[in-house]
Amino acid sequence: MRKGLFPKLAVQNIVLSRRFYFPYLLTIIGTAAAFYDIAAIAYDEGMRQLRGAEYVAVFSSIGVFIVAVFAAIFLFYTNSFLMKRRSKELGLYNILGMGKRHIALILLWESLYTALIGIVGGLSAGVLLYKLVTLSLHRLLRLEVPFGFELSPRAMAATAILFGGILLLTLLYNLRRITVVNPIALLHGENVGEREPKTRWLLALLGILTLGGGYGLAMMTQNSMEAMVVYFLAVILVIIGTYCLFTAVSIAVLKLLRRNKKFYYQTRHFIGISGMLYRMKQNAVGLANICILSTMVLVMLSGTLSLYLGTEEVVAQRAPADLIVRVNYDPIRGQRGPDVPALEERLSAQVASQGQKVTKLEGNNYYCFSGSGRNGTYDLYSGASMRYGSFTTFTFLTAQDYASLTDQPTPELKEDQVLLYGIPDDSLTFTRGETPIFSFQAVEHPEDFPTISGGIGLGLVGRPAMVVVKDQAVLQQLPRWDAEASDSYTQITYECRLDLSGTADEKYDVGHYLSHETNFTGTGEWSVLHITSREQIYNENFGIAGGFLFLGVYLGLLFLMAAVLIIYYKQISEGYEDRQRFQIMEKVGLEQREIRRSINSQVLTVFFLPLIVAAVHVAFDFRLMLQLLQIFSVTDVLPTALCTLGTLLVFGAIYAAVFALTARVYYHIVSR
Amino acid sequence: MTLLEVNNLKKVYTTRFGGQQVQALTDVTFSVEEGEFIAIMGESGSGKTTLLNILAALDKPTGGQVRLQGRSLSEIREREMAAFRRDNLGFVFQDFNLLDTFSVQDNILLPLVLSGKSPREMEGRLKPLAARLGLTALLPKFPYEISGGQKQRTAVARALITNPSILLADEPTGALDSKSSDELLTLFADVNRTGQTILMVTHSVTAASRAGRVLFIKDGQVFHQLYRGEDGDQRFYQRINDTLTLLSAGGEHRA
Repeated sequence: MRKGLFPKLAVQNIVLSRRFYFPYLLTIIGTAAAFYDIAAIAYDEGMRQLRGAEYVAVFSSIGVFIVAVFAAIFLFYTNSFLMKRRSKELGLYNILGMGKRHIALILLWESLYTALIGIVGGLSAGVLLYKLVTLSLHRLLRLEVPFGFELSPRAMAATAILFGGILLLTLLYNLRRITVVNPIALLHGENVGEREPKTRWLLALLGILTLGGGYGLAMMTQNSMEAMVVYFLAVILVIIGTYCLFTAVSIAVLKLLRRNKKFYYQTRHFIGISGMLYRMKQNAVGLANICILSTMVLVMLSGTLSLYLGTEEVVAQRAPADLIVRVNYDPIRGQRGPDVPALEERLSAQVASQGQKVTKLEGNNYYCFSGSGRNGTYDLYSGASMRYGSFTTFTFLTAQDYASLTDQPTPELKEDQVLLYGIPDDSLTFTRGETPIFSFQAVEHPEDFPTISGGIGLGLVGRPAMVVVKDQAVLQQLPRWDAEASDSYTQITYECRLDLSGTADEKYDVGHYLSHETNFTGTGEWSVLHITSREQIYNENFGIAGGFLFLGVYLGLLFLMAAVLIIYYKQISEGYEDRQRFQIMEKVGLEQREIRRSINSQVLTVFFLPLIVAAVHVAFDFRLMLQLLQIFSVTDVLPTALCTLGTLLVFGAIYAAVFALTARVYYHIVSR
Repeated sequence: MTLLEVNNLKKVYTTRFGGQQVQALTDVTFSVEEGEFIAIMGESGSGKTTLLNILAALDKPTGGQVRLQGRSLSEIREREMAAFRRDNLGFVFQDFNLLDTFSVQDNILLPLVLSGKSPREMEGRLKPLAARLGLTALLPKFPYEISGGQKQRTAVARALITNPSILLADEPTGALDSKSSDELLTLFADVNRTGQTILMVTHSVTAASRAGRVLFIKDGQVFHQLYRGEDGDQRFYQRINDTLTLLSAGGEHRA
């Protein structure tokens, strides 16, 4: 055969089936660009120098992995769809006298062109978008935005290799397909008379059980620790349940509807139900995919957004001053605590040595532990073994410290009397399991409390409660009682809070200098001294929250693209299937208006079903998400609820827009 | 009583870019009496299908008119058209045009569902009709499970269930083997005997020989017509064949 025929045929094929090929190319370009950008961040040496950049490295390598796996699965999916559509064309070539070898050559050329356009296009798009991506990443991490425009040869090579590899595999898959299948089968590959699906009760039952199990797990977790353990299992169960739901349960429901004659024999239901039933088998997996992708987008976005928005509050709690100095001492081992004047003098001198002034300085002792329970009785034994979740974190301080922090006279308290802030209980009894160990009477509930970081600052999570006890003697007794109740105790902390002069960067540098360079010997009896700055906490927290949000949005967009593409492909392939049916119905006397209406209701149901199911998934996920967010000290329910609702609304709007756009393509095909 | 009147029907197709005009029907005039079984014959491109499409109100004539039970089809508004077609016309197509998403029963019931009839009434009409066409056992099956002849019988049942004033058939035996064709034509003859008017477009002399009257169309005009009279199928077949030979020889004879 003439040389150059095959490349020419390949180009012609791509142009002729552009309705299928164009989105496929876009998919390759999109995923390749996404992969390049995340890989470029992962490989960027400059990124490592940044504050909080260790998190970026972790997040970007997770991102690289997920995007690569996703790209492989998704390109295979779109390719198989494409091939199914084209089997008739290839069968025709075969029958017209082309050998399978020739068809293979055409496919080879097509793949080459596809790879060339996809990878080059993807890399160009990736390079162009890289600035935007890094810009938004820096903003999310609350870092200074760097200047310059970089290329990452390493990421380019990785992208080319990965996508070249994936496309090669799809080519091999396609070649295998044409060598195995005979031409007649290829020719009819598009409309194999599909049998009506059977009701698979076992699968339906499995779907209901797994979905119920997943939801049940989500509803039953008691605390963050459990939530973390259970989360993965619940996700797997819900995914299995979703697939079963769409394949078996939907068919069972449709058949039940069909059995109801009064309902079934009405024009719209009649056409709709039979149509859905007929296509449910092939559609179920696609719909389940859309549903799961949508759920993932929603969960990732709402979760990471809630975390990010809650972080400001968390930083405020964890860092009540510019510089936080915590000195731990152990009264059980006889340590008497820091020499406060000496410590303060040393700190002021060191700050001055860095050219800054201390503008405010205060401090107090406290002791913290967590207890599980409600209404005045708290078990320390389980509270110590599991620090997360529906716990109350108690921070104890002395009346004297309280008075000096509030500038008020020292409250008169007896040994077993306390002021209690944060929880409304009248008395506090701390137990080891069921056995009471020690208790206090709350004589007063102050309306306000001074800002100290306390248990939250130490990373304990839960409902915070502040307890003011009589004096240092009672405070020093607490570790002993704690040990008796829970077999473990922590040290007492003296927390010194300093506000400094200077800019944010200067404060960061002072904190860095103090924590690394300064010698604190001769400042009393203590075991550990730890210095941290608000800037450092800020960077760390936004490093994590910003990294999560970045990854959430990044993958969210990618998954959204996938969902959109699946919707698009479904619409056109169904359009071609439905065309003939509606033509027949028109001949038998179905009005054009009625045709439109029935298409609308059928397509609407089929496409909004996944969205509705996704919304239900998200609703059940909400409780789990709240508990997981507690790990990061984000405890407010309302902002999280608003985030989830907002994400759902925005996603719903995008989904509807995509639906409307692709529905037009569908109508165009059907009514031609 | 005259059921269908076709007067000076004309149809001109204009090619897409407005260039050439193609005359599909030049001047067709004939009428159909109630209870008749008419076959329309003609070569490919003679205008048969155009004629049928106009009779079925799927297409509009360029000139002339069609009256069904005294009512002109062109008077019927677009929105009523579907309902009119459903209630007055029954269709049988060459390639069956059954919907593979529906069972045989639902395929037959389709026009009734579209008219919004109650399930009880549907049942009442379906049972005797299915029994008459030998479809009772096939009702729960799907189109891909039954033979071509059975599919065409299903299509006939779908056409008859609305008690149409006229049954229009477009090459109904075109996709069937000879045995199934024979059965279908016998069925048509039976249905016709109960008073059902049938208008069938066909290529097949065998099919045409079962009708009561045959119209020959050539170059967009009714060229000739034959009445069965007292002839048996065999004799009528012979006469139709002779006419066709004459027709293809290019005789300038007009009915």
